[in-house]
Amino acid sequence: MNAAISARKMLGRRPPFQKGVAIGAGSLVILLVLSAGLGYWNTVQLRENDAWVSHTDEVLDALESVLSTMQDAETGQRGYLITGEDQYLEPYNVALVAVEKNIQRVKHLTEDNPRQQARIPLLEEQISAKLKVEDRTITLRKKDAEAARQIVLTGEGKKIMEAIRAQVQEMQQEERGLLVARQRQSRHSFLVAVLTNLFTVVLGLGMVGTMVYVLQRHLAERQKAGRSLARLAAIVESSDDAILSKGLDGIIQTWNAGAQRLLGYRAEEVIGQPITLLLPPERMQEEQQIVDRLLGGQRVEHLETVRVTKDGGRVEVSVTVSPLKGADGQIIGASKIIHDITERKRAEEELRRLKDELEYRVELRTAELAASNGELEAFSYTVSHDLRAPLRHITSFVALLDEEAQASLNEQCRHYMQNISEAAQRMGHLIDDLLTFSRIGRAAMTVRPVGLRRLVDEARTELASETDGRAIDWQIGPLPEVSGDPTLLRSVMVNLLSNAIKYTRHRDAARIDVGCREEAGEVVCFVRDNGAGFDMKFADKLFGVFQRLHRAEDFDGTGIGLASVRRAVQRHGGRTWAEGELARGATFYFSLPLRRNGV
Amino acid sequence: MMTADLKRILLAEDDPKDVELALKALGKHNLANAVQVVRDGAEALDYLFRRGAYTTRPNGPPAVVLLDIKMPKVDGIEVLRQIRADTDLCLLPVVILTSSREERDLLESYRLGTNAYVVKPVEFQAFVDAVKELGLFWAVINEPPSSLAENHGG
Repeated sequence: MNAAISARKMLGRRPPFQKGVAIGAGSLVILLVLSAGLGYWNTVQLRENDAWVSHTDEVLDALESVLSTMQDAETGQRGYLITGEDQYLEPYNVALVAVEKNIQRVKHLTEDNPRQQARIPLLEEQISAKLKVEDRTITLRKKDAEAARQIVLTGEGKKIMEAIRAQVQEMQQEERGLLVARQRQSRHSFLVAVLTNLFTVVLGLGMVGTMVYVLQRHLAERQKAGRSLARLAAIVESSDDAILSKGLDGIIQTWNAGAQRLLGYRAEEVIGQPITLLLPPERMQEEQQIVDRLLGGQRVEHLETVRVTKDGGRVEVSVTVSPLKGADGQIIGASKIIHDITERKRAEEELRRLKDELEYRVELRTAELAASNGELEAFSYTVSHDLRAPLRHITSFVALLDEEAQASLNEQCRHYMQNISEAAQRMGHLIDDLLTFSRIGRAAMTVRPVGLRRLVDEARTELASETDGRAIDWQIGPLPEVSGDPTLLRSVMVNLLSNAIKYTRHRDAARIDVGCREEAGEVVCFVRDNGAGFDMKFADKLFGVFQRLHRAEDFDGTGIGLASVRRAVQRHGGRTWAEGELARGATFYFSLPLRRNGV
Repeated sequence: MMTADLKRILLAEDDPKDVELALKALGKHNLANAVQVVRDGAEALDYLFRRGAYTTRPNGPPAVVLLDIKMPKVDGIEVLRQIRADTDLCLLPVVILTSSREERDLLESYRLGTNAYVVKPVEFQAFVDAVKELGLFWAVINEPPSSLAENHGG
């Protein structure tokens, strides 16, 4: 059963699991795409930074070129001024063109930097001023060498040249500052790239790890479920009961070994056949009833019916049918467990037979008992009627004889007559007590709630004549209500109290205790006195009919009282017993079963 | 004339010793001469319905019937039943005087409408007292319904 539940649970988890895998894979793909994008962006960033660094180098180079071509022009100018030879004018003229080109290059390279652009007009102005001075000196040297020398001596050209150098240096300074910033930017970008890569790699590894873990667990569960299914299949296959399943169309789909044993068909013979194959003709409507109940979502449990085996035999079975549900909860068929109850039916039949036999015997015995009870009753009736009459005649005629012959009889004769009369009277008491005893055994019982306290009070009232003039210390404990026949229980109480009163007769301070306690499903009551008591050796004789432990001269009585008590208590299903000590007192107990329903 | 009849006591008793004792007890109180003794139930019914040997007996029912239960031929219970079933005798006082203390006899007797049920005491003096009181009460003290004598006489 547990295996079935866990297998179902595991299989039922499949859709959420697939969703989980899809989400995991999707996340991984997104992460990879993001990571690639980030890597690309970082590379572009790095390349850009590198480009800026080489751009700075170019600007610096261009600025350097401006300065060097200016120096070339100056060198050419000086050579001409000193020698006056035209060959020196040639490098001067080349330098002029190069200067212009280099300035244009600087201008172009620093287009992205407004601050450098702002510096360029001043530089151009200074260069043009310098070139103007040089051009004037060269023009003067062609006519007058001294005048040209005078101009050089003013140092104006040198001053301008220094200003140009300062300007170029300022611009170079700017570029170098930019270079530092760009190199810092480049390092930063590199760091970002490394960190983001690291992060995505760690994240990716984590996700892959999680997925591997989940997949492995799922695989383990699938394996477990597979094992559970295999176990279930083994249980089904090895079951003593026939276990089979069928579709809603009533076609048999599975068939276990138990089914083969019980119904005779092999699986391959019967799978694909209609289930009605197994139904006896007179029970064909049963299948429809079963299907109706199944479609109502109900099970059919322990339907006791009959099925037909392959060889056409009948087998008594108990059938339990449960709906089979598909993954979507729709009923797609039914499973049937068919249990062979032939043996049980036989046992039931045997039991019924035994019960009938027993009932018959009880009837017989009851009849016998009734007959013997009837005989007993007839016997008592005879005793009551016919045995008493002669006794009465004896006493009566002795009395009449006494009346008639009193004068002529001597003392001895009168004593004999007295004995005859007393003997007859005692016989009368014995018969009366015996009849009472017999009546206690035979009387119909009317069981109803009886308050023991009330019984005790009534018994004491009834026995009032016996306690007249005596000082008895009555100790009546709390007494419960019991279930029993009021008349019988009353006779029990009267007999026990009467005994206690009788046997304490010689005590100056007589004491009688009555009490009750509940123990082990019964009520135990006792009557205790401090009277004559008895020797425990004879305890078992106390409750016998006509058994007496005292001489008639000491305590009168017929010895029937305690026998009646025992009889009455036994008729209630209780017990009687006694404890005593000679000359110290006695305790008489009786127990009654605790009231049960219907008793 | 009618008064004498009414004082009569019908004693139905099969045991001659009991008859003797009963007559002795009643004789002590001068009631013996008014006693009619029958020895079984059939004779009791003959007497009451003036049949057989009693066809010619004087008219009128007795003042009381003292009935033993256990008697030959017809028992006391059956006699009581027939008395109570008869339209003329149904009100007749009947006392069951018996040795039986059996519960079923008591119940049956009262169910059939006995006026009293007396168990014969074993001790003679007690028996004498009981019979005397019965005789005195039913034959002397008790006042029967007038319809009883008149109807029966007709």
